[in-house]
Amino acid sequence: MSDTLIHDLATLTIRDAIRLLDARAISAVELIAATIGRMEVTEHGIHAFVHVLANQAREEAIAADRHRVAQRRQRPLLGIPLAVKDLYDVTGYVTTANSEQRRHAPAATRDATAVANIRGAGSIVVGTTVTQEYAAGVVSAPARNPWNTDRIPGGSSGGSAAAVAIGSCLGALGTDTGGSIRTPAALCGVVGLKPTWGRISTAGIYPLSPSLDTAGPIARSVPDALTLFFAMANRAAEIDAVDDLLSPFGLGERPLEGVRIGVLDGFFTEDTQSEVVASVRDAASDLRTLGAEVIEVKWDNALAARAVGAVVNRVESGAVHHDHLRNEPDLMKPDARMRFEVGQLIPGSRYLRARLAREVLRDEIARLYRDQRLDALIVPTSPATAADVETLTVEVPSGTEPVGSAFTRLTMPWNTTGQPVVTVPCGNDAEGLPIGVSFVGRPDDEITLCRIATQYERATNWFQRAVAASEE
Amino acid sequence: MPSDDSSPDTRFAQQLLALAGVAAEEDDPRLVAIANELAAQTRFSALIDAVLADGGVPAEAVVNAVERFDPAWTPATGAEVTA
Repeated sequence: MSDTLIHDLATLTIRDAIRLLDARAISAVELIAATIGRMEVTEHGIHAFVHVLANQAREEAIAADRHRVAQRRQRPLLGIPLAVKDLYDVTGYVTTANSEQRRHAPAATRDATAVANIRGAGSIVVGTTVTQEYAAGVVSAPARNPWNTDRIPGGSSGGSAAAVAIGSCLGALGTDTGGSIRTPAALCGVVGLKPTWGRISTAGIYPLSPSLDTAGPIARSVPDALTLFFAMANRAAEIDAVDDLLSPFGLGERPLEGVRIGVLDGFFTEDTQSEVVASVRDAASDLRTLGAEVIEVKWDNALAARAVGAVVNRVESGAVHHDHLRNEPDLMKPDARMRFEVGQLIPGSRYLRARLAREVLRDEIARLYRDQRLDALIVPTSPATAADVETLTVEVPSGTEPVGSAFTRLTMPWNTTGQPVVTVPCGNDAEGLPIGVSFVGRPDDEITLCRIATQYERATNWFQRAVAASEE
Repeated sequence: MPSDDSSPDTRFAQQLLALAGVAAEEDDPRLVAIANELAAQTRFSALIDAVLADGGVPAEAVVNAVERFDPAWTPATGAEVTA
């Protein structure tokens, strides 16, 4: 297989790959060979993977092609190569969670439910991807950002986002507790969907903060993200209907006719890089052009929603790691150890008050959607583009900010409310680094959210534009 | 002081007490990080207090603050109670 063909196949969307496989224009063996081949030529610089399941993936691809030839009942993702964050149990492999404490843990004896579901839909797991230690952070070392390997991919699903962006898989599974799907997706220029909390099983996923932990997909397009959402949620029967579900709301050049979208400024833009703010404003303008009614709205308690998420996250993760802090604290990296220790020092009364405030804030944001008749909100996904791996800081209007706060403060409010959010590429900064815009939807309505975001993506297509530019 | 064969809980408590003692005397980077994080948490708690003071707490939220999610996406209408 030529390098060009490897590259072309490895950069397909899942929806296109399904069409080509169904038409017998390509085989699963070719598709797996392309993604493994892509991995082989890029991993030395990207370091997205912990375990590569190359031989297993090749064998599964041969079996997938045999199934297809035999015209047995087709599974919708038959032969599609996916990667899985090293926080999900994958049968036969150690879920390391990037922790020294788990280097000698036993291999998983069964798949996490979401992994079993994507395999049940026919997909092939090509590897497990790098995360931050116990998913508590945004750096995801040693993974690097494909757009500039001196930059972090974001985290904690950094390996998944990098692998999708570089073409080592067609999609990947991530988790999001304070932004861990959305941030790396935005920094790596791909799409990340944080579903409504509770929509996808977290069984078999190493917990961080259970009342915030959310499983979801990272992909190259919004239709791909919805496809993987259905597969992860054991709703594979709906995958064939994705194209219909994502149809335009209006005719012709006004596909968002009748859709009402709120733009949140204030907390989300006041300490955000100017290029990011400008790109999101351009996105709002594009949405108007596409027929949407776009209005300015306010949410004064966004900062408080971030605070609630931070307190809940610390206390719950401190409880999750109760035994680790007592038995093997020296095997934890300083950042994770400090976070979990702090979680154990916060009084129970503070935690309960945070949980009460969470209820108030959920009601408040629900009232905003109802009163303003909103279908979605848009905000910047991150206040800055990808940070340097050495400094681990970003420059924002108020000064230099550590990545840990910068890359969670705009995402965490939506973990507090539990709403579904999809981040979509919306531009690049002067250095060519990707910028993401988040569409925030109503709970349990990922389909409408993705339908709105798809119209924007189809009209702007930043991912494909960036890929094309990188090849010039 | 407890002996070396004390339980993990006791050892952890010892570590925290030691940290508190050192914190008073030394500029330990780990302690500074923990102190900064706790300071941030205090600021967060002040914001949470303000939300509870301003917004009132839906009565049902007091009873069931954990995992309630309203799929109909409508605001709670229960009687307001003071925090």
